[in-house]
Amino acid sequence: MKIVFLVLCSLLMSAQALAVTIEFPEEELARESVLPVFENATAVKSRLVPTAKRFELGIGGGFAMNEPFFETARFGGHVAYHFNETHGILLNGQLYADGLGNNGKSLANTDLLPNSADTTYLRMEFAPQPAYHFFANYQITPYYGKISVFKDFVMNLSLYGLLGLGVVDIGGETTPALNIGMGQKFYFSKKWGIRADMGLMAYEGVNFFKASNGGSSPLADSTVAGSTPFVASQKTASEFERQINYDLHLSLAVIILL
Amino acid sequence: MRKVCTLLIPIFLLSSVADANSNELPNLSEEIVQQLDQPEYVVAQSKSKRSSKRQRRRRRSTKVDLLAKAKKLAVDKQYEKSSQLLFSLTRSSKYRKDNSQIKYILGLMLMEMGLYQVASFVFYDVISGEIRSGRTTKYLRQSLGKLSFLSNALDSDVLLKYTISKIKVKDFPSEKKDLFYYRLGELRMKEKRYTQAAKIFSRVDADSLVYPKALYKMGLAYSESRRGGKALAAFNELLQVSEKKGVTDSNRVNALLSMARVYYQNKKWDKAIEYYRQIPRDTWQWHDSLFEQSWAMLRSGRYFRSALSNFHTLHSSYYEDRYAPESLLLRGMVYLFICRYDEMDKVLNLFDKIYKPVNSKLRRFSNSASSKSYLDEIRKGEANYQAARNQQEAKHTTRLPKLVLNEIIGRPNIRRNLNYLNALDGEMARVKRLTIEWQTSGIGKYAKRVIDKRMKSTNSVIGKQARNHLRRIKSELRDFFEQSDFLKFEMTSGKKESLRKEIAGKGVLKKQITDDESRSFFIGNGFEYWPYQGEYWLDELGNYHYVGVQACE
Repeated sequence: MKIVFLVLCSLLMSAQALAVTIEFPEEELARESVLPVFENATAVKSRLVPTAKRFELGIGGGFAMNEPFFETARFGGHVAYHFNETHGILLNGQLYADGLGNNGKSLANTDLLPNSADTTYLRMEFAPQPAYHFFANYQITPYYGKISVFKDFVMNLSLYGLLGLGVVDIGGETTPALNIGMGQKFYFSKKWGIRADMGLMAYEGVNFFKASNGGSSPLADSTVAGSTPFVASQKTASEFERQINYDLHLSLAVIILL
Repeated sequence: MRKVCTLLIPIFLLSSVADANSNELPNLSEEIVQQLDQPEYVVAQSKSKRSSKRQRRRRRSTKVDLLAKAKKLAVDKQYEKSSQLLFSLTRSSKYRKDNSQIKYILGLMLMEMGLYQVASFVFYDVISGEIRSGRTTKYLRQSLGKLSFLSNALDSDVLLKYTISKIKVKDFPSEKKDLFYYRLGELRMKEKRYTQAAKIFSRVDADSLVYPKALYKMGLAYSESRRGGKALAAFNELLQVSEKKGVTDSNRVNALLSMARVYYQNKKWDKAIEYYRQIPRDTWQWHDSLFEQSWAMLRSGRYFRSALSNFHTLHSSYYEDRYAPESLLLRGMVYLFICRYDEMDKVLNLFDKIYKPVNSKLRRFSNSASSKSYLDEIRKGEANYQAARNQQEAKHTTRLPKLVLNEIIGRPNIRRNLNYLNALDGEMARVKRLTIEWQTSGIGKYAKRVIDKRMKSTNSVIGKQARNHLRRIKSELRDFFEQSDFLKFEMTSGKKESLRKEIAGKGVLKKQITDDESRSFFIGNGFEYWPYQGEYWLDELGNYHYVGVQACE
């Protein structure tokens, strides 16, 4: 059960006010959790953070949770427009940090045939790397609420879902992608707050272990007899077999409502 | 042999007709069959003395054919054809003696067709015919029974009340005697004969369906006649009988609210507050109880903080479309009592901001409005109100402010008439869906005429009622503005006095002692603290607590 104490005292703490301890009579405290009846009851009125017909700008970063080879960090921003309190559109993009991640580096320097006289390396440093993504999302916000962080500090929040179409750039080649996600915004005031997003992106990525013709990986640098000599140059996505990749990512952004 | 057949056919068809109507209508088919249980030869025999045997046989045979045919059509669920035939029989001099029976069956047919208003006129016709002739046949009682049912279905008891005023209790069907007492009591209430009304209500049997309503009205009647003890007893009885029906049962809640009002009327503030507090939040009466409770708190002179807590709910955005000038002034008054002049100033400014434009619009409207304008405004207001209920945009622009229109269309008499008008609209639509043959027949024309007249008359009543309500609101607002001016004067005097004391060093000494201290709150176990920051949440309504204190001794 929740009780709301009306802090009009901030207005009323005038010079004449006395410091007293107010003990609310038991019979005045909430005894039931039922709601008053209205014709079309809405959960909240006079919202502190109205979003309808407002733009939202955001800037922030995040990381991929299941990226195996490359750096996982990403940086970007977004622009959103809210048609009303529930529906909106969100355009977002992120640039990916350049370079191999620990796994990628480790793979690049590991002989895949350690117990043999021959050697095989997968030269990941020449692999086409995802560089950025951009999405146009539909955003639905079914929940707006508030949370009491401290006794004197209440924060508004909202939960939303995203569904969008976009592109992912892999080594200079763009490929279509689908994004589904959800997130939560925490508002510090009417104008600004933070948002945390979690999304799952599906796109036509590359299989680094196979060439587009079904042969061995263009990244394979092997001394095994009959193998193609490795040419040390940056590979393109089209040289690899294509496959659907799934990218699970988290991001955090500072937002401002205009 | 033929007579046997006419009796058997309806019995065979009885079950199916009864099933079709068992949910909402009284069992009309059974009644139709009962009419067939009275073979026509009985009526025909009474005429035999006046005519020759041959003529008599011919007349009887014609008569039996037409009436029996109409009944046969009725049992075969051919209500349209049956009603056409029956209506023509009511105009026939040959059937003058059977007029009540024919009209009664015609009423049943119209009920089956969903034409309740037309049917109620037909039943009313039966009753007045019987009263005029001084007879009290079973058709009088049966028609009264049907008229009672239709009055409830149409939410219009004009005809029933008029009828009741003309008949004796013995003429009313025995199983509906309680309804008779109830309606008669209402009639006496309307005539402001409260003591007599209360006595009549007390005759309603405790097993009757209208018993709770009668108890409520009895309490009101006693209350109006300033017999608080008896009123409380009636409401308490209502509370007892409704206790098992759930916390939000409207009879139970009405009983609690009425008891609170009786205590208030008798200046028992604490008792009144105790009962107001028992009104459940999830009922329509809760808003009113909160406002009235605040009055009781102010009158008691002890619960200013609690009253201000209530006002925060009453003046929340959830109730912004409510016409409530009095509650704003009351809030200002409470602030005056506790010397919170700044807050008082804000409240009085808010009052001006809301109700000055309302007042001027109202005056402009009443200076130029024709009698039709009142009705137009009400109908537009109702359309907008219904659109808002369905979460749609307002359909019309109105000359009267929305909160005034909402106030007027929410008044019981207007609301009742608007509902009645909707029922008439529906009935007219049903008529128009019937065959052209029926519509152009005698009964069709009669039905249209009846509905049309009722519509015109109801529209006219709504217009007059709206005008009266607007006059009341105008006069109320004039009084409220006077009170507001008075409060402003008191506020200025209070401020002046407060400044004078401050300069003299009196009355504000505590300021220096407590200036840097913050207020602390006691929060009971199981409760959470949520500071109010400007937005209103549905689940917080009624849970606000004012934590300011009295600023003067």
